Amino acid sequence: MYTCNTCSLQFPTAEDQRVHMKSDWHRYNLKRRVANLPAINEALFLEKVSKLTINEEEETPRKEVKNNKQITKKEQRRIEKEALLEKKKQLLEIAKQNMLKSYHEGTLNETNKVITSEKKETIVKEEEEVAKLSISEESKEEKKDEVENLTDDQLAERIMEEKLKNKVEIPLEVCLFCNKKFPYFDACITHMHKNHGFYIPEQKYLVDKEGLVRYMGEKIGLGNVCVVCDFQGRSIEAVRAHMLSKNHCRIPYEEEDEKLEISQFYDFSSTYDDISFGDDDGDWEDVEGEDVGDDDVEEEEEEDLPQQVSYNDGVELHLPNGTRVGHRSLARYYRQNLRPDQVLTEGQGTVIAAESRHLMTIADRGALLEKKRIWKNEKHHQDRDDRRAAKFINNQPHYRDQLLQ
Amino acid sequence: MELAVAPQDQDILLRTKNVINESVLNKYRLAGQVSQTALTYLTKLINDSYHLNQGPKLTTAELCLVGDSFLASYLENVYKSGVNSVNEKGIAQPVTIDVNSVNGGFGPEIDDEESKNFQYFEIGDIVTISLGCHIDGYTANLSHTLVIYPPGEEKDGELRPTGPLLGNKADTIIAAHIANEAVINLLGAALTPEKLPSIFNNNVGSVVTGSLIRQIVDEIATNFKCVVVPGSRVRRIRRFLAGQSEGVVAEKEYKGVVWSEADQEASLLEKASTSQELITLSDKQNLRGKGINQVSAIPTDDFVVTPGEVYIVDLKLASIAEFNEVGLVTLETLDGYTGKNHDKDSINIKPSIFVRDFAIQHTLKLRTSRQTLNKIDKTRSVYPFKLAHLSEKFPLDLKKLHVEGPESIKSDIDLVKKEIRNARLGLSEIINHHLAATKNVQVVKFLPLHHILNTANPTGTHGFDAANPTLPGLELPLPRLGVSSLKLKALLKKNSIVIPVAREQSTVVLVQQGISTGGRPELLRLTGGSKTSKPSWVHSNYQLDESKDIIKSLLQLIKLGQDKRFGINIRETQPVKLEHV
Repeated sequence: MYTCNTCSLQFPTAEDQRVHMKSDWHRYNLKRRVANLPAINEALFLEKVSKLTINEEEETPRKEVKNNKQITKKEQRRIEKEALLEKKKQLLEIAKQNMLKSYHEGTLNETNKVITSEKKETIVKEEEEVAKLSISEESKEEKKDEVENLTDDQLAERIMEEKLKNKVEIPLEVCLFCNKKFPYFDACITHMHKNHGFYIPEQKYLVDKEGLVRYMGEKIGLGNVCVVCDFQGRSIEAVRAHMLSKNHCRIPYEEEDEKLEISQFYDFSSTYDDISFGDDDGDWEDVEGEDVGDDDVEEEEEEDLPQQVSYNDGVELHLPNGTRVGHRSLARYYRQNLRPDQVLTEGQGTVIAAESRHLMTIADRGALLEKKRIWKNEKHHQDRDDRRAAKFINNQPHYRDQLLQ
Repeated sequence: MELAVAPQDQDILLRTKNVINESVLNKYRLAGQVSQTALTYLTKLINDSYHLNQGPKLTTAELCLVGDSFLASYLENVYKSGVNSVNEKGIAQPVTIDVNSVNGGFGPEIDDEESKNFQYFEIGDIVTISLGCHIDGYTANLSHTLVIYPPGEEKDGELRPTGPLLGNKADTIIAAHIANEAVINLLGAALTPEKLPSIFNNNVGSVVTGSLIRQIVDEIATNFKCVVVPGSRVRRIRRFLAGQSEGVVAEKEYKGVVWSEADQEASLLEKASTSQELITLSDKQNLRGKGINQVSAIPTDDFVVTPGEVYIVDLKLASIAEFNEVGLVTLETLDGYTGKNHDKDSINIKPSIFVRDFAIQHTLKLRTSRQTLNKIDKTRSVYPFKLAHLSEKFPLDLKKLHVEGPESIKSDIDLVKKEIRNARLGLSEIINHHLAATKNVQVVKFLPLHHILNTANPTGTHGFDAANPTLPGLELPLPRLGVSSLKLKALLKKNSIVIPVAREQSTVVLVQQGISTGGRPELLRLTGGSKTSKPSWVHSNYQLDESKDIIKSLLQLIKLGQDKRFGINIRETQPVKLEHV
């Protein structure tokens, strides 16, 4: 007889008992027993379960509220802040991607101005969004109820208004970090460089210096964001204090997205010739076509970027213009000037076909080396034996007269 | 071997293209016609200057160049365009003019200084003209021996020689002529074997075999106290394989009778001893087959002549009647070296004819060599060539020569000379790397047998003369006595005597039934014959011994050849009249 003491049941077989032990009903009853409650029968359990599943969707928010009540206000704020930061990061990511996209779409023929203006627009937009977020954060606690009632668009507008209201325009002659005023722009730049370490990277290719500084100013004044890290101050003073204390007074220029962020103020087109698609094409070398004559044509073709690769046979890329591109590691083979295949005339073919001479074959180098090694060994052994034999040449203990033998 | 031809292509090249049909026959016929006409042209030039005292006396070198020009310019206009145009046509054998004892290959270049002493013929010389051409590889070669007579006397309004040529030269000419005709008749009899005299029937039945050809030629030679000079052959030729590079290329499925020193050795031993062991070659002595893939590349007499084949009958005979001792008739190669060993009276010239060896590949260093090689490969097909053929000015304008005289083409000849000089520089590298082989100039020599028997032969059979390649299997000239070719070469230097040689060469096609014009099987004689190769007026002390059965049957066979209706059907290719060319 198999029993379950918790649920006070009897089972005819061990199998049934095991199945029961694994069931949710049994587990529930176990928990009740721990809490000194009597066990419930199966019908009651099922009823409870079905009730629970129906109310689940309604109950979840309530549960959350319950949970919220359990955690402290401080923690709650922290969680909210994290969520906000996450959102902000995502937005920044999107902004960057947009920027990259517009950068790639912008063809060479279009004027730089157009591109920059476009970018400016996008960047301003991103800025606004970032600003909105930060404002919303600031005024969250006061306007919590209001915010909850508003739609996204309305919220954005409101935040924008707030932002613009708080905006501090930093003129070009004023230091971004200590609000010191200078007679002219360059003096301000030198000050920022010397006192705060505001180094402007790649000045050689910098086209719009003022634009760059103004952009940085907007970042601080309008967005209240640190130029280096993700720190968002409540006001411009907060940001400035953060930057000065943490020495975040430089333009980050290490990672690619950082470079791209300010790339609109630069013009690297003068360097394109040197690199010339080096990243894509660097590992590939042009294979000479079978005809030696059309070298000039090939050189011209090299100028054009191959639009699409026709096919890759594993060894060479066959480009649509007929050029074959091989890997650099095989350069030594491409450099060989092989004799073109001889085309036999009928007469030559006939003579070759009727030929039955043995012509000298190339000796097998491996076999020859092996043979040489054997010869060397043999010679060595012979020399050794000779040396040994020489030791005993004159070791006759007693003199023997040859004539008396 | 670096180059190879696919088996199916081999089959086409070696078999399908050699099947005699109308178009192939036309090409052969035209090639024969061109060769025949060139021979009449050269004969006329020699007759005019030496016998009729008309026109200028041309030197041998000039005759060769003019003859080659004639062949080349004639061939320029045939099978030129349209569906019938052929890629390869040209000279198959540059004109060589061999005087007296020269066996072959004497066709000096126009700028050759060494041939200066041998520019003109002397009275009593026998002069062999050899030439040949091919159209699309279908080749017609010929050789004919003329006699230079003393100034003739007027008879019936015609200038005639005062008398016939006598002596051993006469014997050789007659023997060569008769042997040539006999073999051609014999080949003709292969088309209609029922007409073959019964004595020639062997155990196989009435067929013409290689050994039968040899037997008859040897018989004729002994009747005139002559010896068949080594290098003579009656061989089947194929498209592009007309024996032009014998010794260089070991040709598969060689079919033909070849005479060599070994045959003379065997007959000498036969006379001296009854021991069969001596005469038959033991396996150890028989070196045939060394270094050759295919046994079929080694010539044997064990073959049957079948209709539909093309044969070259190239017989050189030399008389040994003047010698009281037995000896060996053999060939000495002229090396062209100058020095103490050569007096001024003996011929010693450098070879001027070369044949390309396609099996060997090498990238040459000199630019001129590469240019020369390119030119050879492009223009000269697989046949022997001379450097003059590579010149821009070749072929010479012969019309101008005959209308305005030899002075008019002097500038052209000077240009040719200049180009030869440049090409010769390149050629030396080509030869040194064996990309081309030289066709040596050889003289026929008689070497008394006691010199061979008394010589010490320490190196045995191991000395092959690489400079003078032979057909595969014939590397050892005297296999029974075990004398190598190098030993023989050394012996020849001091002990041998130069003897005159006569050569008759004709090309014949054995046309099967149904393809020939008459419907009957016929032997188409491309070159030679009564029109162009009439024997000169000579008298020999000897004649065919009619008491012998074999000679009787032979004469019967020759009579059959002359009988157009019931005999052997032989048709000759006639030359074009020179006025039409």
